[in-house]
Amino acid sequence: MSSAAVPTSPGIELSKSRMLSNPKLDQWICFWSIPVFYVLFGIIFVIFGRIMPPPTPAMATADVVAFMTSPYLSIAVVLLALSLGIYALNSGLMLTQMKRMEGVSPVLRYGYIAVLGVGGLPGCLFPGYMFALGAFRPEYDAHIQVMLYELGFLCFVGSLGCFIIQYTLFAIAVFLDKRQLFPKWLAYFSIWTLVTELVAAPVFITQTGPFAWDGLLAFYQGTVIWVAWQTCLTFYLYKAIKEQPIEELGLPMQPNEL
Amino acid sequence: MNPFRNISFLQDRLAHVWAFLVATTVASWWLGGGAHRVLDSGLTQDRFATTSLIIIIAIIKMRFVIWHFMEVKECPRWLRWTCDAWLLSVAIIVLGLYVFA
Amino acid sequence: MSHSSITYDTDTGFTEPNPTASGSAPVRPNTRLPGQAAMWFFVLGDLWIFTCYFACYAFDRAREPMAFLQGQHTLNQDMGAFNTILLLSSSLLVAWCLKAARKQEYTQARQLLMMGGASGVCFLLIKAVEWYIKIDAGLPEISGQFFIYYFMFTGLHFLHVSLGLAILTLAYLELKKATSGNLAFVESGAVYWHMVDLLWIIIFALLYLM
Repeated sequence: MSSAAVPTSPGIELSKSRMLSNPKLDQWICFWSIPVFYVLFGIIFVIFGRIMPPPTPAMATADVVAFMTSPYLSIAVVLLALSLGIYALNSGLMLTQMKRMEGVSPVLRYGYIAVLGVGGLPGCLFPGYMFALGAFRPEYDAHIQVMLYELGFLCFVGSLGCFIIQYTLFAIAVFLDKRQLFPKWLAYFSIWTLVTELVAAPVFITQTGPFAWDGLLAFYQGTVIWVAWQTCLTFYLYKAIKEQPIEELGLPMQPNEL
Repeated sequence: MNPFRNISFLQDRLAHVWAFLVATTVASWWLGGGAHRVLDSGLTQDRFATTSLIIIIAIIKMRFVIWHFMEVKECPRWLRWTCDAWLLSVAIIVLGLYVFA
Repeated sequence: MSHSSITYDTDTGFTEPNPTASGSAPVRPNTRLPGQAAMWFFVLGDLWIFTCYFACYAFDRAREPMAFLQGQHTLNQDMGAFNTILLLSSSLLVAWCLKAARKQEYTQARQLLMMGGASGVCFLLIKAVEWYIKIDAGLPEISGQFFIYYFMFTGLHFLHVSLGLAILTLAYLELKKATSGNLAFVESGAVYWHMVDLLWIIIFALLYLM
């Protein structure tokens, strides 16, 4: 491209390039995808799907069919199928920042990303398709609708194994990190998240009480702790990007050359 | 080398605490099961005093562990108060739900 | 007084000023936080999480006391009591270990820590045998709300003991190279280990005896 052919006003050029030439633009886009994702998550699961907070497992068959064939649920599952992938941006950002930790083996961050990717299947995508099947096949027998309903919620609340490893790997990485990118207490916090997530294990065998999938221990306590943990993590991720020195970015040229 | 050198079981404060804790463990084991289990096969609900006593003993034991083993007795005041507030909450919650719920 | 000059700042994760480490005269030499502040943050939060579990247990037990008593009577109180004494002894050994380490008796401290950890391993083995006996007895024997609580509480506690053993192992390695007198990690590990003991005392009372 020949620069002589396009004469531009230097003032306009500068203000345009300031944002585009921000050396951390990629990371900031990924960062702001996190609130976007969780707002969509809220719209899908809370407002449209009524999946959170979960209805009781001991619901009457007629109510289950009404829940599964609700038109709002079908909107929710379509939105979910379209937007779930946004989460990958967050994972990419975590990988980028975890790479900056010192004295931490790379297997921890690769494991973290892999287990997040795998955990998203039973935790989000499977329930999405169960509910989609129910919503788009209202002609199904009521018993099949009940099965899809149960399967959907058991996947949604009962998908523990992957997320437990995710919290463990994150905690170990933060403990080992000599650079203290994330505070130590956040590592302990993720152990709380692990413990409260584990308590959802009995959802497969109970239908009422605190261990059912709409129970105080299996759902509410774990969700409250997880939301608090995710909020803290997002805040420290913001701080980590903000404080990352520009020389570390490995850019082809210095930013003042732009 | 003897791992217990310089430790006098009779004079060491921690050893006293441990002896007390073991004694109360045996006492509550005897109260709540142990010797009574065979006799208590009637499974009556009339165990109010026993159950309350077991919970109170457990709270006292926990206070000893916090105070002496976790060294909270030498900690700043906020931590001592937090720990005592926690113990009191557990006692109120468990005993309260047992008695009134 | 040998431990009052320890610096905690590097490992706490909190930026709390430490009056004893600044070199000036200690303001209140009688009050200090053993271990890292972040560990206390964890321990206090964990205790509150368990309090929620205990509250749910007490609530459910009050709704069907007979079923819970029946379940309780099938547990082995003798094994539970023995395990309690085992953990109490383990706590004592770890507390002694810290005492020895503060007197810079590192060899003795390591011996005591090893014995404390061994008691913890015995605890896990006995717990595993107890679970095996229960599961081997068959499903009808272990169904019902009480046994969900039993397996969840003992299982979560088992997890905590395993984590504690990992922490004690790291503390052992720390004691092996301890020449600087920085015992913050060992102290944190001890605090955690005593918390495990603490939780078992109340779990034993609630599940086995109440």
